[in-house]
Formats: sequence, structure tokens, C-alpha cells
Amino acid sequence: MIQQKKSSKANLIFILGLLVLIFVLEQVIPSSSMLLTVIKKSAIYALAAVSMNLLNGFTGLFSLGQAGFMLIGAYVYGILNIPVADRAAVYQYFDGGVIQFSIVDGLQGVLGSAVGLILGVLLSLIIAGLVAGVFAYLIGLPVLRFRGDYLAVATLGFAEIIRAFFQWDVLGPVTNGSNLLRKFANLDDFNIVSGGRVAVHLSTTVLVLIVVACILVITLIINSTYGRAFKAIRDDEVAAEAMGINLARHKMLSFVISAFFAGVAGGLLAMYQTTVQAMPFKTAMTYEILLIVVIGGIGSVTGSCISAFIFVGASEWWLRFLDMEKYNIGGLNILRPGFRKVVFSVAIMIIVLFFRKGIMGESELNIAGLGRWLKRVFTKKKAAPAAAEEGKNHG
Amino acid sequence: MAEHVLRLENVTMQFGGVVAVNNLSMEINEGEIVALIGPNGAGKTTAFNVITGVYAPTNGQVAFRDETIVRNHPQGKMKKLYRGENAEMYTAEYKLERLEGESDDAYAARQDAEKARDPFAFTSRVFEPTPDKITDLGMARTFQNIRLWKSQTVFDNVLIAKHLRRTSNLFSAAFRGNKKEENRQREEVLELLKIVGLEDVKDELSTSLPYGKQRRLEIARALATNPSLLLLDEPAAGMNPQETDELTAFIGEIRDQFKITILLIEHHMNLVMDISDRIYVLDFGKLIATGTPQEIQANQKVIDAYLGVEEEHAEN
Ligand SMILES: Nc1ncnc2c1ncn2[C@@H]1O[C@H](COP(=O)(O)OP(=O)(O)O)[C@@H](O)[C@H]1O
Ligand SMILES: [Mg+2]
Repeated sequence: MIQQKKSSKANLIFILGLLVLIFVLEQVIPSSSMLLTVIKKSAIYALAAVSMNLLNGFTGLFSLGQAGFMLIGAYVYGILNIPVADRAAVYQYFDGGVIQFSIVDGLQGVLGSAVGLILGVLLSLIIAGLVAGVFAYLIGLPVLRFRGDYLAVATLGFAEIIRAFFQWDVLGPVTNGSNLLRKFANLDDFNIVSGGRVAVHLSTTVLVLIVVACILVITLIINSTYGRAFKAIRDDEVAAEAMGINLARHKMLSFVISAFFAGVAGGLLAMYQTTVQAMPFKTAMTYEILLIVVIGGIGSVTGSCISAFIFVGASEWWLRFLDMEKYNIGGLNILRPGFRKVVFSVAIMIIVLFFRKGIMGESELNIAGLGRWLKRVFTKKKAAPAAAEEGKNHG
Repeated sequence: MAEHVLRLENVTMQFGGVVAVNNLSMEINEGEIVALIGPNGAGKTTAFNVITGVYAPTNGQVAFRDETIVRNHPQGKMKKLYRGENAEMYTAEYKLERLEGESDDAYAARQDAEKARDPFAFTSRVFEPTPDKITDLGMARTFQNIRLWKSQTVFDNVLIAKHLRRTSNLFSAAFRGNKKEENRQREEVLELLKIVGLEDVKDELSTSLPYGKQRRLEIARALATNPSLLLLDEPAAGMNPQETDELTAFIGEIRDQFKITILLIEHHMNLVMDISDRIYVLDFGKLIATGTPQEIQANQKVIDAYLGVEEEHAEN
């Protein structure tokens, strides 16, 4: 117990340190730098992956609806935050749309620009999550009562349908049909501007802060009595039910929580991209997130976070050189556009085939534990030469 | 106080064409240790599964503390397929048979008596609660093929069973508003582990324990749900004679200490004869005998169907 308290303190300090580091980085490197892009995108993917892990990894329910719930979150966030003045331009094919308010704008009018922005964004993200949660509840009602993989099929179908649904012309006055939603409050609005120049960069820090808070809440749920019940359902649902855990209620709970945070991740993605459109929320996106979960370790929160960073970094940045045609051997270009994707796919295949448990398995990265482990490694190294010398003396 | 802790009435469980439990009736009284024995495939585990809500029976009813908790009659496809008895007894079509020369008054009185005994008599009411609801009422079980939560420690296996008795909701639990309750539960778990003798291995993975200890852990886990009736499915399976003797004593101890009633399925006859107050014997789903250990040991039918066969096994 005492050790647990100490290690969670160490973890908190580590996270704070990380936030400070990101804040400093953001001030010193150009805001267009690849590193910041990767940090932002991987933070969003980390939240999506952790929320998927809660369901797939901790509750043992296989769902493939992540992209669908993110789409809902992104749309809800966008729709609620386009300034009234810009609605005519954004909804140009739908007479300015039917919704004529903006949460952030409205709150800013009452509470001032800073407080209004913060509260407005948080409120919008929560609503984005809640709407995704309501959809999950409606899907869960008929589907979760059955055992087996109905959920995967149902959520996959849902994600495809919802994408078409949001692009449907009839809903245009709300969703803007297949046109972009834009001009809503985004991450750059958090930067503090003075004299026409950004004085303090906050866009990355704020995003990571929100993601950290969400993942912290998920972790608290996982470590609570409810999280233990989820794990019991995953390990053996017959035993869980026999020990008084109501399967329908707890599966629904996990499914709705997972969808809620996927919705929040979708809202954050909207803020990061500054525009929303249904097109990119394809099943491929769900598979990317699933891969992050698998690579990080099914049932490991920190694993999902680390793997999100590696995955996004590799696909967006570190493997870019593979697409360049500048290395050639014997006049033959070995690297050419598209080669990156081949290497990437092969790497993923190797990981999934040979490292089934992912980076972390079911364990968590623990800073205090890491410290103890390092200490042990070092003391061993020191002890080894000493022992060898002793051996010499005896000989 | 309820007349019986548990009462099964004409319970039949038919899987497709297989009648696994055939018109089984039994009663268990407060504080008793009752054994359910019989050859493999006799339907003992199936009876447990019906009592605990894993399967809705095809026909018949189960009452817990005089409260009907499970009730069903052959329905749908089963209506035609049904090969058991009393097909109409638990439906609205049910009629008491008129006795010879019975007056209308006497007949009505008998009907009233039937209604008083069973408030759902002459109705087609169906009760098929999920197992967690039944556990909530105060019934807990162990499994013949051990079903521990394998990625969890010994301690957590017992702690999770406490989830049922929580008062916290998702928010208070996540944000640690339930600290008091959580601490109390952890203390109770530790206490339970001490009682079953697993305190020293509390942080080990449940599946890393030897067989005998896993069975004890299953008992501890069931006890953590605060049951008043404990159902043990072959608790001594895979144990050596010494472990079996220890378990025999242990079962008696927990009955006294927790003031609970116990129904158990077991093949180790020493254990059964030592601790049972009464025994029910099943063969091919049907009850073939019931009585005290002495009566059962002397019953020719039981010896033919089961005990004799067991002895042969022992000699081999
Ligand atoms: N879910 C099921 N589906 C079909 N048949 C079953 C099922 N469960 C049990 N049976 C059958 O019911 C009979 C009784 O099994 P069981 O209750 O496990 O016996 P016991 O516990 O007395 O050894 C067996 O013939 C078994 O095959
Ligand atoms: Mg059995």
C-alpha cells in the first residue's frame, strides 16, 4: 500500500515533468516543427487508444466503432462552436444552417475571452463525449445482451453507417453535408498573442493537458472497484456473473465510457485539424487505433500511450525518408514513394506476429519501479567486477 | 424465519432431447450441510446451474427462503420436445385433479391451500433472473472446473467478489470518495484469507496456486459475497486424502463460523458421510434416494447405482 502511494506520486511527478518539457519545447522550437505535430497527433491517438483499451483490453469486449464515435465527437464539437458570424460562410449551401449559436463565442461574450475559451472548449468536449456515449448506449441495448462477437460486427456497421449519415444532404443544415466544418475554436486560440505575435505558445501543452486529464480519469476508473469488475468479466464472465457482477450493466458502462472518451478524442482531433469532415473517419482509422492498442499491449494504459507516440512518429515522420528517391545503389532507386508504407506494414506484421503481448504486455510503466529496476541493474554491474576481483585474489 | 432455505420443486432441465435433471424436488433447512451425490453425468452440476440462474429450468420452480426465485414451464420449441413430467403444472392450464366424491367446497379449499403454498400456482408466471441477482439474494457457489480470474492476484479475486456489496457509484469509486468502504472491504478480504489459510500467498497470481489452494480460494471468493447458502461443486476434486480431510474439517468450520447453510456435490465418500446432515442421490437426472448418511449407505438402490461402482473404482 505504502509503496503504491509512493509510486503513484512518482508517476505524477513524471507526468508533470513531461508537461513542463512539452511547454518549454513549444516555446523554443518553431510551431510548424514535425516534433510538435507528432506530439499533438499522438496525444489524440493515445486517448483514442486508451479508451479502446478500456473496452477491448480491460473488459474483453471487442468493438470496432472507435472511428464512428470519434466522428460524432468531432462533428458535435465543430457544430457547436462555429461563430454565428461565420455560419453563413461555412454553411453556404444550407442557408447558414439551423444552429445559430456558438458555445465558446457565447461564453466568451459573458465571461471574457480567456475564461470563456477554456470553459467553452471543456464544455463542448464533454458534450461531444456525451453524445458519443448516447450513441453507444443505443447500440449497446440490443447488442450487449448476446455473448460473442456481435459487438464487433455491430460497431463496425455503425461506424460505416454514421459516416454516410453525417454526409447526408437532408442533415446538411446541421452537419453541412459533405462540406467542411471550419472556423470553430481550435488549439491555436489558446496561444497568448501580444502585438500581433505569439508571446506564449500553449496549443500543444493545452492539448496534452486535456489528454492527460482524460487518461488519468480512465486510469482511476480502471483501478476502482468498477475497473476490477471489468477485468473479472474479461477473465471469466461466468464466474463474474456468479459472484454478483451484472454483466449487462457493467458491459454497458464500459462501452459507454469508452465511447465517451473516443468522442472527446474526436473533438480534440477537430481542434487539431481546425476542420471536420466525415471522409477520414474510416474503418482504417479504427484499425490504426487497434494496432496502437495491440502494439502497446492489450490491457496496458501506458503501453497504449507509448505506442501511440511511436506509431504516429513512425508513420508521419521517422519513416518519411523511405519515400525519397535520393538513395540509389548501382543507379537503381531502392527507395521510392510508397515504400514507407511497405516497411511500416511489415514492421507491424512482425510486431503482431512475434510480440503478441506488445511492448508492455499487461503491465504498466511505473517510474518508481523503473528507478528500482535501474538501481538493481547498476548495483549488479558494480557487484560483478568486485566479485571477479575477489575470485582473482583467491586464485 | 423461512421454513426452508432452499426448495426445489419438480425441477426438470432438458437440453435438446437430453433430460439432464428429471423432476427433482429437494429441501434444505437452515444450518444444514446437505450433499448431492451420484455418478458422473447424473445432472448434479446442472441442478446447481439451475439453482444459481445459469440455466432457466425447462420446468419447475426454485424457492429461496420461501420466495419463488426461479420458475418456468416448457415453452416454444420445448413444448413439443418436452419429455419430462408435470408439463402443465406451472402454467395457467394447471388444474388440480378432482378426488373421487369430492365436494365443490373441499375442492375449492384444496385450491386455496395450493395458492397459499405457492402464490404463483395456476399462473404461467416465469422467473428467470440472471445469476448475479441470485447471488445478491445470498447464494454463492464454486465451480467444478475451477473458474478463478486468472490475471488477478489471490487478494483481488476475493476483493472483486466484494463489488456486489458496494454502496459506491462510478464517480465516487473513480474519484476515491469511497475510501472508507474500500478500506473496510480490503480488511474483510484479508480476514477471509486468514480464515481460509491463504494469507501468505495473497499477492500471488491465483492460477499459480496448487490445485487444493485454488479450490479454497474459490470458497473464500464465494464467502466474500456474504452468502447465507453456499453451494460447493466437488470442492475436494483433485485433492489427496490429507487435503480432503483438512477440507472436511474446514467446511464444518465455515458453516459454524459464518452461520451458513451448505449444499455440496462430492465424490469423496468419506467427506460426504462425515459432514452431511442429509444426502440426496441422483442417477440419470432422477432422485433415487434421500436420507441420512447411515440410511444412504444402507440403501440397496444407491449401492447398485453408485456406491458399489465407486468401491470398484477404489479397488482398481
Ligand atoms: N449446456 C449443456 N448442453 C447440453 N447438455 C448438457 C449441458 N450441460 C450438461 N449437459 C448434459 O447433462 C448431463 C448432466 O451433466 P452434469 O450436470 O454436468 O453431470 P454431473 O455434474 O452430475 O456429473 C450430461 O449428460 C451432460 O452432457
Ligand atoms: Mg458435475
